[in-house]
Amino acid sequence: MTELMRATAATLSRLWTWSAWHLTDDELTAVATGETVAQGTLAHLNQCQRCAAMLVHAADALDLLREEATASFDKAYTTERHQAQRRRISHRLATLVGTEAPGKVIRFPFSGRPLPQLSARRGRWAAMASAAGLVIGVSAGQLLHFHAAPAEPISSDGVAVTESAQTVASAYDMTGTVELPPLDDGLQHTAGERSSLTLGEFDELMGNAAFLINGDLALTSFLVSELESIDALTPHVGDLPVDIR
Amino acid sequence: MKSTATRLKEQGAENPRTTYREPAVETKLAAEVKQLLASGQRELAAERFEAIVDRQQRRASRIAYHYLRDPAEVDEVVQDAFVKAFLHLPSFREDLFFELWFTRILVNACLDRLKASKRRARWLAPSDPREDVVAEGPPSRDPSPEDVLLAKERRARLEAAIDQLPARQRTAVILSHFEGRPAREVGMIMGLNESTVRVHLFRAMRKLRGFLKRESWATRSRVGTAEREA
Repeated sequence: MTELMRATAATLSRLWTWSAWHLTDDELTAVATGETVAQGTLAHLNQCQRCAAMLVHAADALDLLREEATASFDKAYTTERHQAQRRRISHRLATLVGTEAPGKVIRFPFSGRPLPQLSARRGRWAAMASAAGLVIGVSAGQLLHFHAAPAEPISSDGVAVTESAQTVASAYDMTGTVELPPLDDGLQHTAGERSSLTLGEFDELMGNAAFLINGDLALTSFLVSELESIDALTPHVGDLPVDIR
Repeated sequence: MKSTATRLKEQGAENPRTTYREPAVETKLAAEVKQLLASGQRELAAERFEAIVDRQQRRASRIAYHYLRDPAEVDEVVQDAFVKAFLHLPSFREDLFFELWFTRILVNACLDRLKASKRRARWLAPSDPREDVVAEGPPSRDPSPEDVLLAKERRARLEAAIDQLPARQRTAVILSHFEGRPAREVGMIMGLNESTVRVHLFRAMRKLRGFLKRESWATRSRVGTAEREA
């Protein structure tokens, strides 16, 4: 009796489940796209009106997808375009097998005369000459740069002022003063301007002079040509005649 | 071409995509061209190959258009694919279908071009979509401007939905659903087995359901309502 009740309950439960079960969207899509379908799904589709109707709608939606895609292609891809493409394919095939010449390349800039054609031999020589010229140029540039670096500051008239002045000053140390000559620049000088300096002041002056002369040298080199306008406004200490007694 | 619904009604649950296809005329032609090329008759081979072009050009353009959506690019890709197929015909195996072999060349070319155009697009400013509406030309009376606009929007939505699919899912949808190829052939083209193609197709359809719901799947609610009323 208990077993009979259990069997009845199971049957009722199965019947209830069967009536309540419907295909999911995924299953409907799988059926509509023609994918592998389980036997239970097919049996359900044959019995359930709702799922059968939804399958028809899903299939319609997929047809719409295809129709839209096809319509889009038909609209964009006209017969003229199709024929033009066909001609181009034929031309490319004919070019491949050599029955037609390839397309002519338009020369630019436009010129009536044919462009000079370098032979392979001549072109090779030109390339080698260019490479050799480049190597020689770079080497010469490096050598000149190496020798052009000045060992010591030189004044504008070519005399190593700092060294000579210091040599003279160190050799002359009897009165303890250095007398400066009057400036012949045509300007009126005040009475306060001194005409003689102590050796210490003279050393300081010469140190400043060396600094300014280095500045002059830097200004006359090609690296700082931008400062030439400032240099024109500045008196060159190295050019001043210094008479040391 | 029968609709999917009609086919399903007629065939019950039989899968219409698993039927075996006989070797096509293209395959025989390709074998012939291969022999001509091997014997050095290149001109004759090119002539015979043009028969293949005649048979395959429209289909190839349609497939390329589903990927690229630009007629000028489609032109180039299809030309290149045919030329490449002709050049590589000596390596074509007669036991394979020429159509599948050629489709594989074409699909790869389309995917390469898509990648290149995506790289270019990173550096380009997006154009104003309203320009397309202006370029539409004078409105025709049949169908109505509203219908034209709706159809245009629907196509744009569909194209956007398909563009968002990963490359394999996209190829599965295009070849399987738009071109009606069985999963076995799609698998041969994509270099995948049949069940993997089905998985890609199923996932793609799941992603496209957003589009389908808006267009037709939404009729589910009407079905449900009618059912309740009955």
